[in-house]
Amino acid sequence: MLGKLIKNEFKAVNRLMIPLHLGLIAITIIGRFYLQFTVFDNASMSYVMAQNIWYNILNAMLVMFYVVALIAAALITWIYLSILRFRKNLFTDEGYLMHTLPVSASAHIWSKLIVCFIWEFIDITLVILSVFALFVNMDILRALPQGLSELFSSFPDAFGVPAGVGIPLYLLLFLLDSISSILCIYMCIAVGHSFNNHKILASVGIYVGVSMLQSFISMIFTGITGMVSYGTSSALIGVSNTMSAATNFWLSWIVSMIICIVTGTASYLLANYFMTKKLNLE
Amino acid sequence: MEQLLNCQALSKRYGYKTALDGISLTLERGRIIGLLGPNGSGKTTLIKLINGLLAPSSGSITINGSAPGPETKKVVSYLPERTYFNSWMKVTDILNFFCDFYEDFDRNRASDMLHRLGIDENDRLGSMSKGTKEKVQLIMVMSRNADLYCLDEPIGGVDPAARDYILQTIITNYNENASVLISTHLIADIENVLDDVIFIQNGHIRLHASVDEIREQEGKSVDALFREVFRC
Repeated sequence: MLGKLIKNEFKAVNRLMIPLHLGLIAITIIGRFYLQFTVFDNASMSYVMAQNIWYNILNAMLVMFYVVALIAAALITWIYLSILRFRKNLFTDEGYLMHTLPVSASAHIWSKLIVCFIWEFIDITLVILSVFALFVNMDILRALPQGLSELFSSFPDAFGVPAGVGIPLYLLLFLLDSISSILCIYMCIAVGHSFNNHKILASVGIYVGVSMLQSFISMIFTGITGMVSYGTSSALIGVSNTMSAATNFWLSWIVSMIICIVTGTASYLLANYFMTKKLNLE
Repeated sequence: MEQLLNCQALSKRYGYKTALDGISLTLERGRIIGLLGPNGSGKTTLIKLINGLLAPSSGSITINGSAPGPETKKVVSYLPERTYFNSWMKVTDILNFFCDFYEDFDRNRASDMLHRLGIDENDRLGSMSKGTKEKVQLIMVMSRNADLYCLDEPIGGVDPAARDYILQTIITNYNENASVLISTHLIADIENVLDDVIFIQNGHIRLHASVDEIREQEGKSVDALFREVFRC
């Protein structure tokens, strides 16, 4: 049944996700050609640019348009998949169909989570590739191996562990963090929609409450350890004034993992409980 | 054979408002039952509880001996009073969807009925009138070989000719192990197909009797009795 749910979920969300990401690819290709024939390796064009302020304004606007489009694609993907789709499909009129299928609530949660995660992954990959494809040229490619090796060799100084250890561990943390934050949103929607009135308001309120709790916990942690975190409240990454880099890395990584695992597990169990025992479709 | 449906002291409250107030009810197999009552009497709430779309505030409800869950949803076929399909779906998409999830779905029966009512399987739901959408939904629901069919206002939006055909399908499609629970206030239209009636008012069951009993004891039709009991 899970497989069939996933199949139908893909069928429904692909209707928006595929055109959206084809658009992203199209903008990248057009942008690349534009840059290729104007900005990069064209001496006469740079002469025109230096002379004509309107041309420069046009270029700046095009770059801005590209950045906005990129952010919009990522935001739409995130909001649509983790919030709108889950709510609309399970807690509005469509829920009358979904919740009368001979399928458990956990299968609904897993199918939504898996499809959401896969599309988020594709989205982030495409966004990174798009930026890379737009601005890469031979100079950057030539400088890349050296730059990367410098990045890797400086990793231990910053984080106290070799890059071969630190990067996979951070990737694992990001993976768990994104799963647990999707589950947390599902939980807020499931709990909020068990209310009789003001279901959306209740969902948002619960989300704000959970976020504040998470920030509070990470604030206590960073306060005690003197850490300055550049990550999120559930994925702490940064430097500490009071501890060695290695101690800071391990301590913050373990605490972040615990926050993610506890948030994710609690969210899943609560969402499952409220969808099984407290379902309250309007 | 065990009872099809059993409610014990079943209550549902929305905040301060009580929609169902401690009702106890048993449904037998092989019956067509009319769930009749004025607006806001608790008909839809009861049907949603049977289908697990609401959780009871107190009391219990069992279908074939189990509480609503994936097992009971295999044997209960539900027509809600609203359209739940996406407008981008074609009729074939919906047929595939029902084939995917319901083992008891009879695709040939559904295709026959669609053909009879002149609905093209390649049409999109978005291009259909409200009545046609309701017909599609009812055809899907009645094409399952379920034990219990819960039809919430099944004939409200369709024309009288299709109404006759749909009622005919309801009568011919269920077997002796299955029952049909129809909620409506269009009593005169369905009176002839009903075996039993349940009168429900303000969350209480006023009457649960067979149509024959009503005709013998009261000497009047269900429609007339309804108008008398629920006189405003």
